[in-house]
Amino acid sequence: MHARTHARPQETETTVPVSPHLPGLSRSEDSISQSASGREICIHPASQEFRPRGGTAVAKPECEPMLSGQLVLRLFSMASRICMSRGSAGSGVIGPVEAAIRTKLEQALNPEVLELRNESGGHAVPPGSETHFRVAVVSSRFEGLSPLQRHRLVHAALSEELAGPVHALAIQARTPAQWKENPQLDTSPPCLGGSKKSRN
Amino acid sequence: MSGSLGRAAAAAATALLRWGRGVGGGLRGPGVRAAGSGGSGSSEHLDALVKKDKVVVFLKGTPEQPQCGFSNAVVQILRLHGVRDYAAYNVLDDPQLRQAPSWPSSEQNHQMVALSQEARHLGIKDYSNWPTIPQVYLNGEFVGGCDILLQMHQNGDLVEELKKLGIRSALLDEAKDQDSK
Repeated sequence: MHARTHARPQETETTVPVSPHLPGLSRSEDSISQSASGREICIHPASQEFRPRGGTAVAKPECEPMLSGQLVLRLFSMASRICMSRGSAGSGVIGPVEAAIRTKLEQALNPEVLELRNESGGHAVPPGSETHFRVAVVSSRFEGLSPLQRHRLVHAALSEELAGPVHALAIQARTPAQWKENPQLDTSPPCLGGSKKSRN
Repeated sequence: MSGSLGRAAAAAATALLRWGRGVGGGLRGPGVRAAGSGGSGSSEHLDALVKKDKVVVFLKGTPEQPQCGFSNAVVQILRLHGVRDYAAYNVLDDPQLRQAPSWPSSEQNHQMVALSQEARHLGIKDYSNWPTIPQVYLNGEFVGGCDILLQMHQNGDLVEELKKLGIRSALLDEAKDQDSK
């Protein structure tokens, strides 16, 4: 298995080089462990969270059992790009929209785990925007509900934000048992420019 | 069974699921249908649209040139499964269809914002009761957005749903090849 990483031509950030065994790759205080099966590589947060601009969640690659290690590495390199992206000076400040999202989800779903990441920096919006988010919500209230029903619950809690500034909301809605199997906040695909038609 | 299909899906995913441009790659592109003019956002019109084809998606951009990473993800997943004949509606072509948010932002062009503020017809977001694009309909029924489609792809549900529609997923053939080796 070989690692496939490449920087997209229009991006200026460096891709974090990765190898299948990720020896000693560290960013802030993250530590790497390899799962027993050897084919998954998971990043577990250390005591101090890595705070991307405006975000509160640790950047972790997708680590679903169904995906091979290669895709994990690709997504991780994307996550690095997204979190170290161009745009605002990363001060770790949580904006009002992010705070509201967190509060409302906590009230509505009483989650065991709530990981929220402002991904606006990876999209065609000005620095400091709060328009694109990714959230992982772990709640026993999702038991027995289809993915569609779960997402609708999340939408209902955030109807004001979604009718307002939030253009994109990527959702992982898991029960506690499901989360245990795979406790990772996924990464989002790269922006393709949105409504800016000038993109070539 | 689903395990081996899962591995095949994963292998296909690594090979093909590039979060990049949706290039046809030699396959005939999907039928991209314009949403049509006049009353494009009305409930009856949308009802007809989502029922006209087995697989209907609402995207930002087109399958050949997606303008949103999440929309592109939907295109790529359908491509992986070999679904070539589907209706893709570009909400960027039709602000009423899209129901652009009333919050002005620099991402929107101002014309679109003005239009949406003035006439927030029933667009696809109201019709589906879903606040974001992309949106996926299978057999006239709303399935979800990019996250849900990805989940269905990963757990094998999408293959089953396509089978119910009489569409044989390309991944089944790949899995067969894998197993026979």
